Amino acid sequence: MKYMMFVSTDATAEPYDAAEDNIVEWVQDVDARGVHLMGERLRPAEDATTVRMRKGELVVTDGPFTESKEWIAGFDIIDCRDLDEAIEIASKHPMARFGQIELRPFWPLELDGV
Amino acid sequence: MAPSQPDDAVARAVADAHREEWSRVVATLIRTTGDWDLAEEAVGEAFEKALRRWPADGIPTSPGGWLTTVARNHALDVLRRRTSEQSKYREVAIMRSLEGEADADVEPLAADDRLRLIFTCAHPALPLEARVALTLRTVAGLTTAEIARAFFVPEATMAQRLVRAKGKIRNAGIPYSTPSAEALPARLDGVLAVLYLVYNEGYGPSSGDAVLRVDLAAEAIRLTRLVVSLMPAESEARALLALMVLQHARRAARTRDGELVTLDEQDRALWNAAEVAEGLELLASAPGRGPYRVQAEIQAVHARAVDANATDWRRIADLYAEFARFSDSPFIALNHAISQGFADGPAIGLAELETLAASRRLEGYHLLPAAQAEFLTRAGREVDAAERYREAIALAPTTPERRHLERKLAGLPGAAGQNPTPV
Amino acid sequence: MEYLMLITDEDDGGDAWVPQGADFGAWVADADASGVRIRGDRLRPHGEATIVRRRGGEVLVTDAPLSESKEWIAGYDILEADSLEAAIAVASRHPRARTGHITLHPVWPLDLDGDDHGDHDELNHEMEQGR
Repeated sequence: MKYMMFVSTDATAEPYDAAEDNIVEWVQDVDARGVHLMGERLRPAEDATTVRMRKGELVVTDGPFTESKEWIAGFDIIDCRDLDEAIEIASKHPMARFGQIELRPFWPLELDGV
Repeated sequence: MAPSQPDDAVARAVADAHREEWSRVVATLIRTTGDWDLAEEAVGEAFEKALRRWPADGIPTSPGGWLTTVARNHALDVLRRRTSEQSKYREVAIMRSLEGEADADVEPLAADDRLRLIFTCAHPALPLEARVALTLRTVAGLTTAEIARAFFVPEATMAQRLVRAKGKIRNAGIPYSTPSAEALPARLDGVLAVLYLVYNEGYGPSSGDAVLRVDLAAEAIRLTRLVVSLMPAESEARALLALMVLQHARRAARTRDGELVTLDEQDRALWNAAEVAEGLELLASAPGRGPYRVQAEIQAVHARAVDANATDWRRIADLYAEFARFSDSPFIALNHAISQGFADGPAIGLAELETLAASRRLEGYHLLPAAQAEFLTRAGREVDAAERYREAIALAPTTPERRHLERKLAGLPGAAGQNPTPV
Repeated sequence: MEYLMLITDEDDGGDAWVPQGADFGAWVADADASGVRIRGDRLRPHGEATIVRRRGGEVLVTDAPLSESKEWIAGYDILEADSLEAAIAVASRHPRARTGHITLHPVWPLDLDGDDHGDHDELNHEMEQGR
């Protein structure tokens, strides 16, 4: 099953400790296990752009359109056996400790109506 | 063919089978079909069939086996009638799983499908309400209507909750399995938390028609017994059962003529002695110092006291101090303060309660001023006690509790117990 | 430049709206044909998400409470565009740009060989800012 991992900040998390950031190891581990399809770090919130079309007019605004103080710092796409494996993978990502990870299952189009 | 009337023996046998076999049959059907709705439907069909066939055919030697076979056949019939490609794969998978065995490496605990079911229902990815509903529906075998009534929500709401829960299991890939050894401690905590929540819900505010409401406390105890039987090495599960059994043993003494009777006032002859004995035995067989163990020990101290005056409050105070290390809940702190007051005297109790009150963590909670009133009374300060009782009365969340506090206020010596003239 | 494009609908995102393939099939075909779209998928609704945190050494798993989110990310695409303007142009043609909004997040590649430590310090700084 494929999952999108949204890697986000979280104000209630432990303070970031660069020495404990093992992202390189994490990527190597998931690559070796064959569960990693792709993943990227993302530029911080202020570098995002929001696009809307309203009444035929293009409306472009700075930053993500969100009231939340949390932002998405990165993402990974994983393909694993089930949610428990996805949870185990996510729990080992350094941002599980310094932020939070949201696991979103993919919704394949062949399963429309389900 | 006219429907036959089940005779008493059959009705009893089916009811027994429902209590003992429902979860087992459902759990197996979910594993073999991979379809929760189909499993429930098939098992429901099987019980209906039992009511129709057992009067004529006799009660089978192994009701569980009979029910499983009938349910499985029904499920296969349904699947064959579904014509999509997917169902063919499912049929093949069913055949395979009927032949296959649990993968012992991946699932060290999976000797019994019911464990898979229990752990999956309590999966932390499901919202707490959904975990409770799913556990009661598929493990306890309560109907959606019964669960809805027990939690004071409309049946449609509860039905929707169950649909969403099963949807998430399917769509998010929640596996039908017992957890890995690494994940087990946290996952078992989750199971026990659901069971304890159901138990406490059984002691929550009751509506008018208690007769129609399922006894949630009894259901929680039954389910916890099942968990203990399936995981006999897990001490905290056993401790939780001890805790529930010891508290539940007091139920006959908790009310008198519809009025609330607190622990100190209860007629201990009304406590179920056999259940108390069972609770103490369970406790003795549950080593360790986990949170449920400590709570159960507190209940055991009460259980061993022949009357309220004989209570070993020092021991209880020490146990609450220990319990407080697991959680910084202000309610635990309150109970700790109260037990210290009973152990070391009202002055100590009042000092501890004053600290708690100053922290404002229990603002609006009636049992804080009620406790202050209790110790003020013991210290001979009835006027202050009366004021605290009035405060508590204003905060009391239910009628029985308010009336109890009013009785305490009225029972104060002298004019202190009189209500102030209404303004 | 690579972007994570997130599609958010401003419906309540609940059962009422099921994003169908027909909604965005034409957009996908165009974006694929122009080479801008690398991949993309529909995602199950927010109510079926799972949150994973590690706090005090323990792994905490929870569901995603509906009340906490007013945004309903319904899907994502990975775009490779010459510039932000080009990416905006592609995003603006997505049907959900009309009924919801599209957010473009520039990718910020990690140097996984570890030679360039400047990026790491910048990440550290950014995360501190985010508190």
